[in-house]
Amino acid sequence: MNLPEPQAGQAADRAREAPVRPRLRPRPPALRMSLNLTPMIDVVFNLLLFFLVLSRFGPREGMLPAQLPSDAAAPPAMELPRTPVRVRLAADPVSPADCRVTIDRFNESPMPFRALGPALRRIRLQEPGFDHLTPVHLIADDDVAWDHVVNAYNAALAAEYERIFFAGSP
Amino acid sequence: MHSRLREYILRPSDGINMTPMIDVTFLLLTFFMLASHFASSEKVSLELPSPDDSRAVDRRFRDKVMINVVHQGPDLPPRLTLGAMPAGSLAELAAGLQGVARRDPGVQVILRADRRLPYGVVRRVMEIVAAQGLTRLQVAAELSEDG
Repeated sequence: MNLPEPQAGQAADRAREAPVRPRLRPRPPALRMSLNLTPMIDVVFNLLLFFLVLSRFGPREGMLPAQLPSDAAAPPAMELPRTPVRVRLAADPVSPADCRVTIDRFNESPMPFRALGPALRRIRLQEPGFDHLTPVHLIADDDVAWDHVVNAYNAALAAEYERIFFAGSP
Repeated sequence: MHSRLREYILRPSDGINMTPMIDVTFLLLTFFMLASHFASSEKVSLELPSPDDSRAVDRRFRDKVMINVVHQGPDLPPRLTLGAMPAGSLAELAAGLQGVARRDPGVQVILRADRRLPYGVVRRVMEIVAAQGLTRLQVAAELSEDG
């Protein structure tokens, strides 16, 4: 096939019109930067385990100190008998889950648990013959929930009595 | 990237690699913490009493024996354990406590009883503890929210 040859003048014109490209220097080989993630993952998982073990789930638990009776712990005969504060806990006939709290001689009508601590404190501070060594007897019916008995025990501790005893109902 | 940072990342390591040491330290720490959790496995899951303005304190005792009284239902007898060992009956509990009292009469008895239990049941347990000559009792309860 015969094609028309470009004329020399036309080729020279095209060469003049084309933009002049700067000659590029050869690029240096690209630096491959990378972080080793393995030790970081190791440490992160270790920290995660550590805090999981450290953390506590659910309510925290503590101790209320108490003393159980024994022959050795009986008061010496030289000590005069003291009139105890008798706190009575009875199951509420209307709502068996609740209970009625009274204090013999002082609060014969049922009171809420919130009022028990202040009432015991008032007896200790204001009533003659009563102090922190006065025995407190918690007299509860067998069907009262343990939660209520511990609540009453805690109230007596909060009122700063030192001799608190669990007792059964007579 | 800034040339200094690039140099820092690419520089050859010339110090001690701390990562394995941190790994091993945390693993040991976690191991010992887990081991201490296993030691407290005698704590049976139950609902502890939660008194208003609780005066309970978080205390640890070296010489202690733990009694768990677990509520199983309104008409079912409670489940008893002495430490991590189940006690089938009050008599079995008394026999276990007798051995404990013989070894160490001054041991702290930690009573963990479910809050829903009737007082009569817990009182029977306390009477059995006292009958063995053990007088130091700790009643487990929830701590106050701020304590």
